[in-house]
Amino acid sequence: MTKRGHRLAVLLLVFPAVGYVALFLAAVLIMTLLQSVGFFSFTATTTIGLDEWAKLLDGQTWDSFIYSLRIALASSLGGLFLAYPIALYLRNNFRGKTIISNLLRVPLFLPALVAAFLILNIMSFHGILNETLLALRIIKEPLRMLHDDQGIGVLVIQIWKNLPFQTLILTAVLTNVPRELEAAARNLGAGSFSVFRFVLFPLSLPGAVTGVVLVFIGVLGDFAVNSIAGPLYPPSLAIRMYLLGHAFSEWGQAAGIAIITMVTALVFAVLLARLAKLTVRLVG
Amino acid sequence: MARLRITNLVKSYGDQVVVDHLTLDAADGEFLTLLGPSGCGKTTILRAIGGLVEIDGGEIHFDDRLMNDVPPHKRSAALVFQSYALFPHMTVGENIGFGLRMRGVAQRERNEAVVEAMAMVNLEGLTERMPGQLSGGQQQRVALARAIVTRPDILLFDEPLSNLDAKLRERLRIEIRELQRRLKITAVYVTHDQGEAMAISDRIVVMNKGRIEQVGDPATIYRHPATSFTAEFIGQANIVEARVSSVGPEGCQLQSSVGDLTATARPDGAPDHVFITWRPEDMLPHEPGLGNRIEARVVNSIFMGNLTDLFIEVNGIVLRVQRPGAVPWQVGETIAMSVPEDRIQILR
Amino acid sequence: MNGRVTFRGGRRHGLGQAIRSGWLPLLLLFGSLIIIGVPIVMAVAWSLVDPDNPWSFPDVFPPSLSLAQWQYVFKYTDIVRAIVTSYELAAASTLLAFVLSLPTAYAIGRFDFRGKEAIRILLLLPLVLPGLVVALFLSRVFGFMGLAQTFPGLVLGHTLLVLPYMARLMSTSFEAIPRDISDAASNLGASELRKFREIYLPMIMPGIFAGAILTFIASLEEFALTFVIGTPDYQTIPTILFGFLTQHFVRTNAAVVALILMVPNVVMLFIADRALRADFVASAYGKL
Repeated sequence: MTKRGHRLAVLLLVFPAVGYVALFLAAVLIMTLLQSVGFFSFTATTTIGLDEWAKLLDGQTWDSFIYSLRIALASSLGGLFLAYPIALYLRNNFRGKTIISNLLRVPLFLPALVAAFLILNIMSFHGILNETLLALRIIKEPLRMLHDDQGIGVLVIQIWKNLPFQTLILTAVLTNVPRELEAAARNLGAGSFSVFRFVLFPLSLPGAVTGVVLVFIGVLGDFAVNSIAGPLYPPSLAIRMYLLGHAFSEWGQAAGIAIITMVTALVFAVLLARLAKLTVRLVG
Repeated sequence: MARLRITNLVKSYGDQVVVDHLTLDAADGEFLTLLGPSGCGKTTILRAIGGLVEIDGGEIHFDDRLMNDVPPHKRSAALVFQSYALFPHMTVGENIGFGLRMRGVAQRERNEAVVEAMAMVNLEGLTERMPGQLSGGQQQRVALARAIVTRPDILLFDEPLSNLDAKLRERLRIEIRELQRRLKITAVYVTHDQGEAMAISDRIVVMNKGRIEQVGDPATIYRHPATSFTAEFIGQANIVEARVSSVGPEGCQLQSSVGDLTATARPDGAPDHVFITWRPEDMLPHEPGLGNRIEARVVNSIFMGNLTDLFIEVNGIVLRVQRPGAVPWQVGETIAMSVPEDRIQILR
Repeated sequence: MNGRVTFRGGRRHGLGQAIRSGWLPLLLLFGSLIIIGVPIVMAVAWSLVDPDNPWSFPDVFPPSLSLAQWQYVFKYTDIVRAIVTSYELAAASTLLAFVLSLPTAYAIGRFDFRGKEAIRILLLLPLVLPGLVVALFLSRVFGFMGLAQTFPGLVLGHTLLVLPYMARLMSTSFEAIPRDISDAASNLGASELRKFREIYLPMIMPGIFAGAILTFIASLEEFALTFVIGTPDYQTIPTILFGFLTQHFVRTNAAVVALILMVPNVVMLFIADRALRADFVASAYGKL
């Protein structure tokens, strides 16, 4: 086949899936952008301009933003912080390792809704967690852990759901660090912590960042978990977006929130990559 | 059965020229080996013959047919891969019969041909097995059977034995050679193992960095290496600088860094500076009556069982000597050796 | 490379001792069993509560078990219709995703061309973008196209969201076929089309199977998009579950529906995992 024929054939072959995804995603993004500057905003009227943004950027939006950002950062970065010791420990072979690995995989298979429900049960006012704490006399009254202003319930659910994912990624990344490097470091006198600091951490952080970003995006834009266990006020960004659009038909503002969410995610991804490089250089 | 003619073959990857205007020939039924270190281009040439690599220049002919624009699945140049490349989801029988199936041969004839091919490679009875159940040597035989069953014009071998252990290698290479001889199919064999090349080839093409260093039958290549690369790549060699002091009808006189030497070879043209070479096993302990006396100090002596590798030093140059069995000399001793006049080669 | 690190340096450390001796692994085992196991057990327990013997504190477990909740859910809620819709939707979008992905995965897996990386990333985008953003604004797009609240609209939306799984798994499977095998087939006379039929397709069957299962499950679990463009006309298991967790909060109903969602998925994932292990390509690699 000629070179041009070849190129044409490849183009035709990739077109179905690529065309499909590109078409719909482009439609979504364009629609979002247009709506945020006024097209089709209120029912069918079109007033182009930044009015929508002016209406949007008020205290309520800021509160939602800070809230969602807080939970997302805690889930993703906090998750990483928790995942490291677990992943490092799982490098060894010990009795029960397979069972623990398989147990840790379970939350991966559960959709966010189910995870939310499961933890909801545990953490409810009369749930088993409160019962146990009461029975052990650690607290005198049941704690309100759901729908609280800080979003503790949401945070616990998100970590329960996402920590296994981050641990899995970290385990995979750590496995890619050749065993010989560790052995060489020990041979040259490095203790366990130094091996981590100078060999394992720098070589695993770049790969782990992907997991952090994915979790961040998921939690930042979360709708389901916050609906089920989140505070009444402030609502998460996604809930606010949904209400603005579906309940109040303020599609322009809803689009604005969508853009804020996506831009935040992008900025976070870029910043994190830079931060990772910096941290590795400082610590390692 | 076909004659292979490659003319001015060129292949580059980006800026790197991997095959540099290479011309070679294989006669009908000949066993030609491409020998060289990794990266010398030999595998690229092989794949180009099979049509699996697009060439940037030159022509490939099977007999009188120009093959340049013929796609790989229409060429009749079966390839035995280094990794065997057996289809894991097909049985041994299906693997071997694949080429015939592609040619539209009917089931019954196919089965007969497969059975015949398996007998030829000593693989009877394994038709229904899956490749994953076979040993390395057996897989290699299946790959071989699969290639020959279609009676291709040319048989191509891409280092087929390098994944096997030494004893199996030695046995299989002889089987391959005998099979090829029986079937009289032109074969091009790629390897980096010079012992293998020497053992089974009709002719060897010694290659380096995309170019041909020397072409010849094994004996000629060994006894009369034309370049220092060939001398060093095949067997061991002593390579020494020399000035040509005089040339006569029966040879020449050389003033070398290890002494004055007489050689029966004569240099091409009229250079005054040449490189000469001879094999370690050609050196003899000096006796009265032998020419080319070299007095040197023994610096190392390695006893290998059936022979001894001896390293001697003269004028700051270390020469290598190989003697059968053990030697009576100690390290530090000064001994006198001799190089037969007809064993000195003058390199280009 | 077999990984076994022994804490040689930690022999004198208390921590090293703890790690190698029994109690830390035991603690972790116990801990993970509780953290993972208890929520699941609780959910199962709630689905089996006997309505005549309600479960409230201080009982740790329901006083008696019965299948009454399951009967209730199946009889008095829309769950049956939701199950049918869910599985129909999953089947349709898996099929569509397969058809769309097959040629693309083939091209990505077997050919080199400019922009391959960009295409790979593009195909992952539906998974990366925040779910509700895509859901809300796709619903607007669909609204203008007349596809909102329709089954075809749901299928199109689901396909968009699950396609990354199918495309990814299939292209990885195509890629895993060693180049030598494809060269050998050409060398023996197979044209590209015959190679596709005789060599590639059989070899990637396990990958297709696993991909189909993962895609199917992803569609079953999809919530945001279905919630926005489906309800109230079309309900799936996740949207019904959501209802039981927010507007009509009934814990026992929620427990039943959660299990209806979870259990088949886990079973299917198990099957998919098995399929990927019995992989021709993997074993072909192993022999090299």
